[in-house]
Amino acid sequence: MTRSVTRTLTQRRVLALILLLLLVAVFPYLYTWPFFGAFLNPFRTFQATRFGLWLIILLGLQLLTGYSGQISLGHAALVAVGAYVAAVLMNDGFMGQDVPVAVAVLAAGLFTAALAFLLGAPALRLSGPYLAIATLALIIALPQMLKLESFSFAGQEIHANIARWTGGVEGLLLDRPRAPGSLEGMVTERQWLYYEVMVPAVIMTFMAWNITRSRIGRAFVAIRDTEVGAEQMGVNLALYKMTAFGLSGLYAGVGGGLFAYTEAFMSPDSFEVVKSITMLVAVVLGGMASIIGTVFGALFMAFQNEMVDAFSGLIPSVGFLEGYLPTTESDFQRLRGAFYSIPLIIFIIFAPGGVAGLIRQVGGAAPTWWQAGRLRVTGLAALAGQVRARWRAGPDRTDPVDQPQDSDEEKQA
Amino acid sequence: MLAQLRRGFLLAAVVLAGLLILSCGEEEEAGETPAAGSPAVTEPAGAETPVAEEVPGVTDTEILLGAHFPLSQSPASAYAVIADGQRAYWDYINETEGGVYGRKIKFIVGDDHYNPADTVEVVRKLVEQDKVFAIVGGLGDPCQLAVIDYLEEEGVPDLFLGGGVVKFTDPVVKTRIGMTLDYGTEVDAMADYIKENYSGKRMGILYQSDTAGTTGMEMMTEALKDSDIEIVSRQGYDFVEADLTPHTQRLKNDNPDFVDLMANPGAAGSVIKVAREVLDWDVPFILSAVSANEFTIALAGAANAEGAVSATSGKMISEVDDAGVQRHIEIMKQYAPNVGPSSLTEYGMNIAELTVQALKNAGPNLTRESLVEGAEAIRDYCCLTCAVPINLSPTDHRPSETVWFDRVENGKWVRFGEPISYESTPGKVIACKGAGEPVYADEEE
Repeated sequence: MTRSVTRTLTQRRVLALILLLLLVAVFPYLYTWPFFGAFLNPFRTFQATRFGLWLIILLGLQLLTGYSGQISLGHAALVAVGAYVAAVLMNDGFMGQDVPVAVAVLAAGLFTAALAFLLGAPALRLSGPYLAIATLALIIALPQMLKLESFSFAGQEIHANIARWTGGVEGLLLDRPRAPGSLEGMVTERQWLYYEVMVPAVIMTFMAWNITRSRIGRAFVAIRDTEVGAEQMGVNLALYKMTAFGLSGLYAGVGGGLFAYTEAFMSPDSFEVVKSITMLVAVVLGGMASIIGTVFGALFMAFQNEMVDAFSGLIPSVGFLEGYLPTTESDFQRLRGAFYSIPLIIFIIFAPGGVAGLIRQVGGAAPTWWQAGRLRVTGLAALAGQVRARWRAGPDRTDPVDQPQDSDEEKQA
Repeated sequence: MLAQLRRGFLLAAVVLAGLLILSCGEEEEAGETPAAGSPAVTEPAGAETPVAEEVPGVTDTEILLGAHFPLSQSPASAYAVIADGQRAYWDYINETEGGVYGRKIKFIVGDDHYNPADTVEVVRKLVEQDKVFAIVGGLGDPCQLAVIDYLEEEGVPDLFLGGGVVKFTDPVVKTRIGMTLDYGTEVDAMADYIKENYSGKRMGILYQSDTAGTTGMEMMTEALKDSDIEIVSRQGYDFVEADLTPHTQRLKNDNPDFVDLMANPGAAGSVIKVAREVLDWDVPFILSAVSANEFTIALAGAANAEGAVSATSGKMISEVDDAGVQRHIEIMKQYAPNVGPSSLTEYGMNIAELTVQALKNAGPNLTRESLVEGAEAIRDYCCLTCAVPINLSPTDHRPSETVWFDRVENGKWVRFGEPISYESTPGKVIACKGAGEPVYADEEE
């Protein structure tokens, strides 16, 4: 296996990072400048806030699925748990005391982390599709549990009134978020929410970046690529698998808590099966085992609707094509699912490494060692590479995997 | 190792500092309005303030209306054809009457996947990016719950919304008007019917574990509390569950004399079919108003559904002899040829007709206030497929307050008895016939 170029923090990269952080810091005010006012407005600030929320949530999923190889279709359940814990704390306080936002969100994150850590235990024996099913069960069960008032068991009516805490089917209405008095007049509500979300988002992205390049990150990747090999090298499988779940729970909890704060409304239907699956789709689309990929995944989650609208806009509404192509509003409406799915399928066939993979290909950079590992992403290019490898192997060699695979790795990315 | 520890501490310090800064954020008590005169989003100095006469979404030639509907990624996307019904009628008015006071109606639909978090995004986009004049026909209880406060605060009319949660229309909010039968009125009507016809009997309830079903079940329990009807079984189900055989079996085990299905057409049809065909159970069924349509009969099987009772306020699409239904089918065929007419498109067209009525009442000087007042001025109005009249007033934001019970006979819903009014704004019309013709109280049927 080729040793890829290590990503050193060159001067250029640091400069780029600083510029990006500056952009993030002033974004909510940009629309007052003449040039930016053309396409930025408070609605974009709202979208940017949403983007920040999804970034936090998807980073957790990326750590769990992209780096540790544990497929989780139930990540939305952890987000919902975090959201409700934060919401209840903000609404009802704790033991009579008012709970400030940051404490509520942090508590939500820690609680969800602990819960996810424990949930990792039954997941230890499962992998691949079986783990996917188990996590799917989680997200299917949770909305119902959040609405639960009572249920029958062995002929008895048990009043486990969870709905009293969660607001039940009608959801939980929270207090409106407001900037502190000292900043009154300098920030609007929306700008304040943007900072409330972006600061944790930046911090947690940095955290994730650090984790992936640390001992824990190496253990995660080892577990993903080869459990037997990892154990041989002294990695405590159980502990690290559960830690992976716990970390994803931390991110999900913080993201969910901030979600509840920014929306001031929480419904059991806000995070359900389809959302959970879409989150995984977003992570894969962005690029597995890649922090930049997660950024793109979060962009996808925040701008899905606009992307689909843009794609429908590409269909020419020429008169003679009427009847063969969707042309009217009504047609676009009814075919919306197709406009969403077909580009997705086409994209993933030709770019299985996601957007981050595409960037890597275009940039000519070799994949980092944790991306080039046994992360099996087969795409047409990869298949072509394997065919070529077998051809080169000839009739004498049986296993083309043992062949030098430099060009195949590049093709796979 | 030491370097790592130092880095770790530094990181922890940064995180803590960040959190301390953030924890300064306060919260406002819910209900406290921002200072008078300051809009929810303050304009920074130097930005243009909007001209007083400029009404968002209204020009001399166009009115822009918006709504959120589940178009994809949810089983609820079957209800998206309601938007087609709305648009078809507005296209018809645009073409035949040139719009209302010379302004043509344009309709944008945002896809919220029936997810309240997405509804917030969609509605904000409609209001802030597309600058719609009003939200008309927004669908979904949980979805609307997420955006009613925002719309109220921004002063955007939320008209004829598709949801029956009681708090949508009580207390009355100036810019918000309901459409469907609200759950309180529906349960009152059903409870009265049950007390009259099933006195002393045992009742089973199947309810969808969402806002509509659970609230309905609780209200029904409350309404029948002091009566001689005993509720012996309550079975909840989640709307993603496809197979309701276990629920039906559990209902049967509790041996009720009749069953109330507070469920959507899919579930209701499934339960009826299973009960009749698989479990050989001939218990009478009462259905929620939402299932009083052809879908339930189709899913249950006409023979199985025979005798099922429900309440409605509109004419069935199967009443092809009725002039109003014929008109509806004509308009759909001409302006939405790819969408089959159904009770859902009828409902959509009702919304569209009410909107046009409100716009006409509002007069040529169109603002959001005049639109809402125009809607409140609707009295004794019979839409094309209404079976009962619609009355609104400044204190009555519920168009549907009269019900007419109907029963499945030979595979079709047939109304029986007299319309029952829970109307808080009494009018002179008691029923509707033909293509929007009112039937007055002193007329003979």
